[in-house]
Amino acid sequence: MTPDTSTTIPFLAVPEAINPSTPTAVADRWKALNRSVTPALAALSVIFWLVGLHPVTPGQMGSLGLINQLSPILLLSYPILLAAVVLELVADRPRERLLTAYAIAGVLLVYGLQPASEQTARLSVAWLHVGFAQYIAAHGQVLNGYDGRFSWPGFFSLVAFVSRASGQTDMTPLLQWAPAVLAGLAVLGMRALATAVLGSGRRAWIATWLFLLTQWTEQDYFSPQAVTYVLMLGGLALTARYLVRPLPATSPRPCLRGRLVPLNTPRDRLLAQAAILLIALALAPSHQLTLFVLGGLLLVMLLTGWLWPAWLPWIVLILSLLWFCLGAKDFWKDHLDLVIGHVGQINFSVQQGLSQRFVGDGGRIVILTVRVALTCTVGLLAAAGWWSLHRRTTRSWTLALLAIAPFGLIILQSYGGEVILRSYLFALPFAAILASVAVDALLTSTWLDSRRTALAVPVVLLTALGLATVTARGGNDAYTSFSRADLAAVDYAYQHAADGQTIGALTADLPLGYKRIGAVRPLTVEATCPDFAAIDACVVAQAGDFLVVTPSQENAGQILYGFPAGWTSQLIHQLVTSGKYRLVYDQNGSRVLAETLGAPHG
Amino acid sequence: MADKLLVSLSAVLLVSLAVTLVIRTVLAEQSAGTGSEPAPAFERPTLVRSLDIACAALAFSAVTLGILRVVLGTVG
Repeated sequence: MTPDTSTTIPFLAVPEAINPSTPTAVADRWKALNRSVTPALAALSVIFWLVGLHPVTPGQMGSLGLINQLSPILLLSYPILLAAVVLELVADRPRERLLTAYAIAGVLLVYGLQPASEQTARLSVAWLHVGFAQYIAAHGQVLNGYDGRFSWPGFFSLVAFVSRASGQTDMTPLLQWAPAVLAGLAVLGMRALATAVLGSGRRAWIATWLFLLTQWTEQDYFSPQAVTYVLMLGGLALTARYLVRPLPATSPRPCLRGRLVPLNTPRDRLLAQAAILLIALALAPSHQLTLFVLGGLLLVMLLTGWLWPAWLPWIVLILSLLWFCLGAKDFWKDHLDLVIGHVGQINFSVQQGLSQRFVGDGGRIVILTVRVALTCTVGLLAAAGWWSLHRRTTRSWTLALLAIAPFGLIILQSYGGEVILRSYLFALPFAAILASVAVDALLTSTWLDSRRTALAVPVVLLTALGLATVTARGGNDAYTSFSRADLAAVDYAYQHAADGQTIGALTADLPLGYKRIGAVRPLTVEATCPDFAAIDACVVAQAGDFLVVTPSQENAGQILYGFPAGWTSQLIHQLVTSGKYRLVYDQNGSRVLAETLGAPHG
Repeated sequence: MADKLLVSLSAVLLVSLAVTLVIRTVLAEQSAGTGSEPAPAFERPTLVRSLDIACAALAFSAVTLGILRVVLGTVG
């Protein structure tokens, strides 16, 4: 439209595009400001996080774990980063590079928190896995009859191979930052899956962020399940990109008998199938559960008419079954009842996975409640997303079934009380994809009062999810994390133990088994004592040649068993005064007792 | 002895399955084309169907032998 200049003074007539007071110019200025605001916010967030970090030891933590030790400035970094992410996502042209950088920052903030603030790697199982790998590196084979996990040695063999090839015999330095690296790779896999299913738009980024902010299960430590989970996500992403048609989020319902050929070349599909088969071959000897889940998810895709190559799920399931039959004899010859003994006993699985885990003091119950609330929130968001999708775009049940299918594990077995946790982990990628539809609807909603509210609601929601995950992930750190002094105490015990001797711990919360597997036997009184409340008698009978006592175990007794403060010191006093043990090492509350007859001298 | 025999037989079946599956998949994908043809339903060629049956038989045999090994191993 040509402005009417007849009534205006020529030198004051400013073109509309550069008039700072017109709505368009204001919008342009706001956009320009917005483009520099989001990187500034993200940078500020990382600075706050770095400034707010400080070292934390298990002795400082209570039953709420790490969250109580975090500084306010560090906690402030999470909403700031998420505000930057949401502002970037709602921009006219979201910048992919910046969103990638924000995702990397998000991985650091959520998964790098414990490695950055704790002195050593947490979780005793991670340390044990290093021991398994070092045994294979030293002997060239697994140790039969030692541990069921040796029946799936793929991951340990890979670490052993890297150890031998690099000449680095001690792989424990890999432990501390493994969660950040492996969770980061999982986020990358999630991003690939989300873009394959949802396209490269905003929803795919939201799905990636929902995954990043709600993965509270802590299965990303140095372990076979963490590596195989990344591989599984890679396999699913390849499947969704090359081997399915139509996309479930955009098209009408397909059917099993009338499956469509994907819109790509035979070469692309053959390469994708070869890659997925290769992934399956790597998963089969590496983890007992992951390949079954991948096969199950592919089967759901096939039965809903989404997957093109019908043979793929069957061959994946056959591979996992055949490895179990042919490669895991050491496991099933003694433990077959663990696998098939509870098939169909859903009550047992739920009791083991949920109700029996609700033990401990008030703080512990709060942490468990946060985990359940997080899981339910993701479930509700996914249900809302599916409903929105079902109403507007597609009548396909595929995505919903893919998000629900992993919970079928509950029918098969309790998986040592972890089946609900594992089911959530495997369901999360597709649940996050569905939930992203709901969150995207929030961002673009017209029923919220104003644009600011429409932006604030997702920021608050994502911040709540992120902080809940930080709380849940660090909730056990009072007893699952260790200090350098704890590690030095264990090292002392290993240095002085002779072949055939045992090193004992009161609870399982000690980094045992990371060296001399098969020569020195690690022992946990908690696992063998029929009544842990009457621990005194058990310790005298079972504690072994060396007994390592740390603040983490003190915390475990208080939080999980309701023992009084100082119970480990009282126990040590009793053992020493009885003459059965003597204190041979004491540093910052980490103590080593040696049985009197076999105690080291000098 | 029976255990080793079962493992060896399963391995032979698995290798046969892998070879048959590769041939079957290459043939099937080449027949399917790029997916841009107007006809939505894809009919498998007769040879691919025959190879599908062979794959199913090999896979079924391998799994049966594997399960037999577990049964014999746990009972024995």
